[in-house]
Amino acid sequence: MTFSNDKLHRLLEMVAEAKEDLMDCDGCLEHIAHYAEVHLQGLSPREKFAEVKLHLQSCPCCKDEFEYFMQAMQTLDLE
Amino acid sequence: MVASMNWVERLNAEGETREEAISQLRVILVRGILKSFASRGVDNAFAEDIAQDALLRILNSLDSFEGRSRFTTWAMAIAVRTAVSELRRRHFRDVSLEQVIHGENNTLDLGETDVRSAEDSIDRQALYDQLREHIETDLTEKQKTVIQALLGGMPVENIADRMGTNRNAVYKMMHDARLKLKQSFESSGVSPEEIQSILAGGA
Repeated sequence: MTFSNDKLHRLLEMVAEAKEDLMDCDGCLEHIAHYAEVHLQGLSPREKFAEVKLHLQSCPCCKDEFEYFMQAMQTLDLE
Repeated sequence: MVASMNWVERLNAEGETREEAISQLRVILVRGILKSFASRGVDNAFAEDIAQDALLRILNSLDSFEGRSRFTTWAMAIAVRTAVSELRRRHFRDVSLEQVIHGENNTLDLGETDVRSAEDSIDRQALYDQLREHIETDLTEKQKTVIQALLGGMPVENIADRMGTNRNAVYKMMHDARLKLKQSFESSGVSPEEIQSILAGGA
């Protein structure tokens, strides 16, 4: 199995930024709605959101979904 | 705004009350999906299909709604994941893991065109060589496959499909591989800061 330099470069970036992430993708989905509401209200993320934030930094799929989700949130009445 | 508990009660009810709540929630989900995926050119039929699938998941998961967020926010999160999963499934429908690993697929929204070449510094080339060695000696074959597929642009859940496992398991393989490689570099005296510096052109 060979890795091109381009792939190695991107993997090195991921390795250098790697942190212990105790959450998985399903765990992220459980908390993401609350996290998004707090995010939109401009409140300081609470301690318990640190894990969600870390997972979003580590998981490209959840990060991608979060960005689409924030678009959808614009259509909700959050008074 | 309809209160969250009201939503749950109405969706758990029977007859007209339930049908009306489902109908209202469907409208909300369709609106959200059309908004969030407008840039992907999705149409009303796609949004309706996704809303229908998401509604089934939502109705089956009502017991797990704990009220931390508004009900509609929680429901929308499920709908968006359903939509993204479907778009990924369609995009990679005819693409095998081998094709992705060997660079024969069309990647999804990665925009990667930067091919490293001879202009890489000696330090950077040494770092690549060291990483190749760590990959070979410290990672399992499954971890190597996951890393190759991810770097080839295939999302975690599509890799999971191909490997006959689930998204959480693939994410964990990727996560553990990253930490293992970081540890291997640290054990050989290379810190994450040094890696970043060399990649940025310093050191």
